[in-house]
Amino acid sequence: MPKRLISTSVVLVAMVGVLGVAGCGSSSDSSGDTETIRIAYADQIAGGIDPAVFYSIEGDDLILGLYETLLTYEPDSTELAPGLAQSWEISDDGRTYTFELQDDVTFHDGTPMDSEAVKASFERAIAVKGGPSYMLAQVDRIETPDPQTVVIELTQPVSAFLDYNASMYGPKVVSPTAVEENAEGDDLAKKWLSENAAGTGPYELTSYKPAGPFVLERFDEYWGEPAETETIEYTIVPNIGDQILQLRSGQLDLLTHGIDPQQIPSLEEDPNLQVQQFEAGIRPVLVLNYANEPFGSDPEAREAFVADADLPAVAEQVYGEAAAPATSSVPPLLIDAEDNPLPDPGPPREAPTSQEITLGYTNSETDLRRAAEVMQQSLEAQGWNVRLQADSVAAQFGYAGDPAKAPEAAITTLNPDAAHPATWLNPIYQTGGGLNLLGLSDPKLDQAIEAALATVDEEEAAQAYAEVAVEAASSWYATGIADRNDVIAARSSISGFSHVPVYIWVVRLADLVKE
Amino acid sequence: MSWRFVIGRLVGLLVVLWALLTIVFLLGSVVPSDPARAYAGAGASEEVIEQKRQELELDEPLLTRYVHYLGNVAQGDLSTSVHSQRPVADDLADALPATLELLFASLVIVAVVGLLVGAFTATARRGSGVVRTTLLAGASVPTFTLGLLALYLLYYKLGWFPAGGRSTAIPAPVDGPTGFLLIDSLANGQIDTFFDSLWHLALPALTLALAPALLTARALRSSLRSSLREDYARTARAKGLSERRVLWGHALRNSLNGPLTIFGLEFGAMLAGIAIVETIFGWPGLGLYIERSIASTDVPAIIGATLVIGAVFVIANAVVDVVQAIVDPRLRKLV
Repeated sequence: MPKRLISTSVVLVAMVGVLGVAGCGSSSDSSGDTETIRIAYADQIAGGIDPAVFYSIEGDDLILGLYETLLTYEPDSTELAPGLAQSWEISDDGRTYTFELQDDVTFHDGTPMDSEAVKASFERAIAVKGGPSYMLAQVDRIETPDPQTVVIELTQPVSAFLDYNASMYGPKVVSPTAVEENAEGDDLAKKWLSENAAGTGPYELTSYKPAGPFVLERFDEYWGEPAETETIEYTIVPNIGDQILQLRSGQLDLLTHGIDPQQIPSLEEDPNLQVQQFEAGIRPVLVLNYANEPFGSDPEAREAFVADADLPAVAEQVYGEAAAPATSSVPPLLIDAEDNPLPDPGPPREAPTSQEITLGYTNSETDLRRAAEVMQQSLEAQGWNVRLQADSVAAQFGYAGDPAKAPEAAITTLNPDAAHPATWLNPIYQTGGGLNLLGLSDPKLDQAIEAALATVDEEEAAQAYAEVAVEAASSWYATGIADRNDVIAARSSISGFSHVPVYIWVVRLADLVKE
Repeated sequence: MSWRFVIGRLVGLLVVLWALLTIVFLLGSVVPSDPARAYAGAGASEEVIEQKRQELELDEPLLTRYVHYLGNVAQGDLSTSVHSQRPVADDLADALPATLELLFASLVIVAVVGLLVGAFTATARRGSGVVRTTLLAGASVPTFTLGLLALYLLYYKLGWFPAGGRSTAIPAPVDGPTGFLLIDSLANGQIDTFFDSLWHLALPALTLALAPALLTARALRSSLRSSLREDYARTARAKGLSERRVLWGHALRNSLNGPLTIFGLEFGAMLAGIAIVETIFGWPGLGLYIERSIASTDVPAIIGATLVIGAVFVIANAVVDVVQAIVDPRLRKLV
């Protein structure tokens, strides 16, 4: 018995060694396979991939590879461009939008894409009431005069409506056949679409498990230019350090996010790697609490806090060349910085209060932790008593439920849903807005925001939003710290990076080439 | 082993699970997050958020929610994850096989290494002192350090092992019936996949098992050395039995009780370490699920995963009790 035990043990231990050595031969290095690009996600796609429900950042590029919107943006710009609609018109009263659809588009399941499919998809998105459904909140009715034409009537003018239809969260067109065949009861196929896809994009989904991995294959019947690379594989690698190790060794080809600015120099030094930086609408923001003291009732305390926090220094120290210090109220992608400059909070001054200020920051973002630490130092030098508090994103959303009990100040990263100021100003500054985390409620500002959204003339709307932005900034409620770049690291063998500034963490999959 | 033991353990399991559920539920209710907002997303309108709040019964008093939750759990409904927006039970069913496979592999390593190293160092052989010092050093290395070192050296520098995941192919070439890749690959006759899975399993299992294995070995060594000084061991030697026969044939069985107790306790430590190991190696199991759930304040998922981990711990300790009773007849009356 003992001898047998010993020999079994020796065999087991030897097996581990042999496995290691044998493993060398079957390395999972994908660098030799030019038809497969491997991308890392740090997490599963929150809430699944139903485009009417999906409202996260992890997963954007995958969703945009599978589904399409009526409009999109030109690369590296905020210019609207044709998507599934080849042209569009707006009525004089700004309430009727007519879209002419592309010819010969089919869904991945073979169903032709026509105006009825667009109508069904939009109506489904409204009925599902997912996070992005606010973009269709003013839709009154949808007409389909012929298979290539969709007419959408709104209850009121919405100056952001075209941008909503180009947003990465904008209403996607889904195969009505797939919805009908896979609906369970009255669920509108929500369950099925959370793990399956039936879009018109350049890729189709061939494997999906909620906790990963995900595999996309080139859709050969795609109506536009076919995808350059046959297969895109996504693996879940939770830790950015592990992601970088796998990128260096060739097991991964592309990291679209999560790279800390401090990691950029060492990545750039690696001859097998490249780092691409793109202008993007990603902005860390300092938010002050209007529902408790000292900031709720004292504008001077707010101004002093912003001045003493020394936000330009924070931007410089934390982000270096991967960002520019914020100089405008709204990200410059949405309104020219000159039209809505950040007000000057004045020189640093002595803290007007000895009250302890809790400064919350998002626990999953190391840059925000560092920003909070730098800010704490600057503030304490002026006599502020600052305590740092790490909160999850969900906990930060929770601030809005009872802002009086939330931290007196918080820093969080925000991004606009589309290249329109409405997608920044409305959720952050409007009473009850989805990103109005710390209790701002200003009826005058609410009215101004509503009026700007309903302005028909494009130039007048832009002017109205610039005025709102200036007014909003003067409240010191939400002050931008920096305008960050999208930082993407890839193997040197990858090319064809096409990026849209408001599509965060996204490079267009169909353009990627591996040599 | 009597029915009283089984029933007693089952009742104990239910009490532990109820206590865990209650504690985590109460903790979850005081966390300053808003699940309705988290479900609905950042730009969602107040109407959508309010609808979610009603769906989740967040507008109900805490006691009402607790009673409903207990009733649902009794029926296997662990609520819906805020993060994945799937039933927590489905998420757990997907994650559990990966974790059990990792735990089982680690337990095998703990048993084999603990036994061999413990027995080797118990005798005054040449080199046992070096091994003993190595034991002490090895058991002192935190799991996360060990995992990162293993990853850096054995994956990145030497390329002997993969960085993470359960298989090279994406997705794994077998899907079911058990969810255990080793078993499923054999059941489907895919020997390549079996070895590939074993290759992927090696590093995380070794990382998880090393410290418990060395602690078990130390406990066994100490217990064996004491047994080898007993009268019966002296008698055995006087009868002409070799030192090896005395060790393996007589002293070992009498020395297993202490190490088994340590083994049971270490199993708890392994369960605690599983979140770290799975996160480092991207192992899609319960540990990674818990880590994500905590990071996103996903209270339903945290409660569900805590219940499963608690159940695994209680069951494993019951198994240890039974094994101890088998090894030591004096304990059978207690069992």
